[in-house]
Amino acid sequence: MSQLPEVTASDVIGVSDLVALLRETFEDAFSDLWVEGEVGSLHRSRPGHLYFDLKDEAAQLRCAMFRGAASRLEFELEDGMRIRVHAKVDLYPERGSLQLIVSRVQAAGEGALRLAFERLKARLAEEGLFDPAHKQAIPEEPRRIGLVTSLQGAAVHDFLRALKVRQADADVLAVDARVQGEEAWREIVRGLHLLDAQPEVDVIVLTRGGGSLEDLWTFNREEVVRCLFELQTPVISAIGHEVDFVLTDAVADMRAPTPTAAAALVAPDGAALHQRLLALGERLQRAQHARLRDARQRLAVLRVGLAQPARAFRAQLNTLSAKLNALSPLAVMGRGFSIASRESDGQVLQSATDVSVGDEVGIRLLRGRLRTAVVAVQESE
Amino acid sequence: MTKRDVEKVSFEAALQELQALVAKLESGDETLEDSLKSFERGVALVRVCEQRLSAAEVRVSQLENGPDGPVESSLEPDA
Repeated sequence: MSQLPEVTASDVIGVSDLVALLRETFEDAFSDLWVEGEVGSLHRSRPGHLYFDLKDEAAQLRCAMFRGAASRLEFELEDGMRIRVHAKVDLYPERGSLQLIVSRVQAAGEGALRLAFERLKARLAEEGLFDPAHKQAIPEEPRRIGLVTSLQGAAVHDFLRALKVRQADADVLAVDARVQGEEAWREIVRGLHLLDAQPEVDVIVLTRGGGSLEDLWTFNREEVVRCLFELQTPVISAIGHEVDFVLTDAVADMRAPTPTAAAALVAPDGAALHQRLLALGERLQRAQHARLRDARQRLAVLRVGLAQPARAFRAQLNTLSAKLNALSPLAVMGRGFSIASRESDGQVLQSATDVSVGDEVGIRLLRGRLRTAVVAVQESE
Repeated sequence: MTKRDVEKVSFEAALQELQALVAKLESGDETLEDSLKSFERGVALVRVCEQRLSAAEVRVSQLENGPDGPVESSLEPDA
């Protein structure tokens, strides 16, 4: 044993004092750090605090993210995810251990976001949020089109220009919302609710232009996805370019690949409608002309049909009338015969004994009539 | 249907009705009297649709949360 120098009581400090001193030193020196590493041993406490290790190949540090900060996370943490944390170093006195108190988290590269995206997508899909059964039909001719986007962005410009190009008859009610950054999701959710409460708005378009996965991340946030799911009004998600796919696309009643495409979904093409109308108008005229011509032809046929029986009737009538004529007593009298009748009762005489001398007899001739008196009756020739 | 009804129907509904009327007229199955009625209604539909198309425009307004609830103001679309 070597001889140690004498230690006086004044040279000794208590553990608490040292820890307090260290704590102060660390806090002063490392209060505003961005640290990158991989998440491990993630654990969520009942009150909502998050605890995890941040590590690389050679070292690791315990991290704590308290409830307030954890609730502002833009994506869910997962073991194995590479992240950057904004943190300060803290010494936990009861255990004398160092930890990072994390205030903000960013994804380190697209890998982390990709993973967060896949996990959230799987979880919400499991819940049925993307189920086609929940999808509402997009009205063909909306009275008012609700629009949630940044009024400074390219998307609103593209959308409105597309409506004009289509010569659409459209009434657009726009709500300005940031479409990127930490607070964007709140503004979007507020805008969606605002429009959903407007009875005249019968379709809502949520749109923004293209960007990186990180730029578009707001449209993968659970709050925004759930908000879209709960809207009463049918909603179209038109985020980024054709290749970009975000979770609002999956939950919306319809996805449009671009803001321009969204315009086509909500407003019929005026020029095309005009063409269709012209064609229908022409067909209408032509069909009516054909119908009238057809009617005229049928009328002509009927007229001929009506004339036919009349002619036959007339022929029959002529025959009958000839027969009748032949049978007429007048015709007989025309040949010199006359008709005698007893004047007293009009009885036609067939025998000389039908009258006596002195009786009056009327004689009908072809033309005129005679009144005569009988002077003699000869019973036979 | 009266003329008022024609003005109330949606554009797409009017076009579809027109299409059906034309098909019926073309089939020639209707009585002449009915076909005249169809034609008359078809002409009214064409006229109303024409008017709507020629009056088509894009109107844009902005909705914001004001102290007394949502406020709407007109916006000129930057074309």
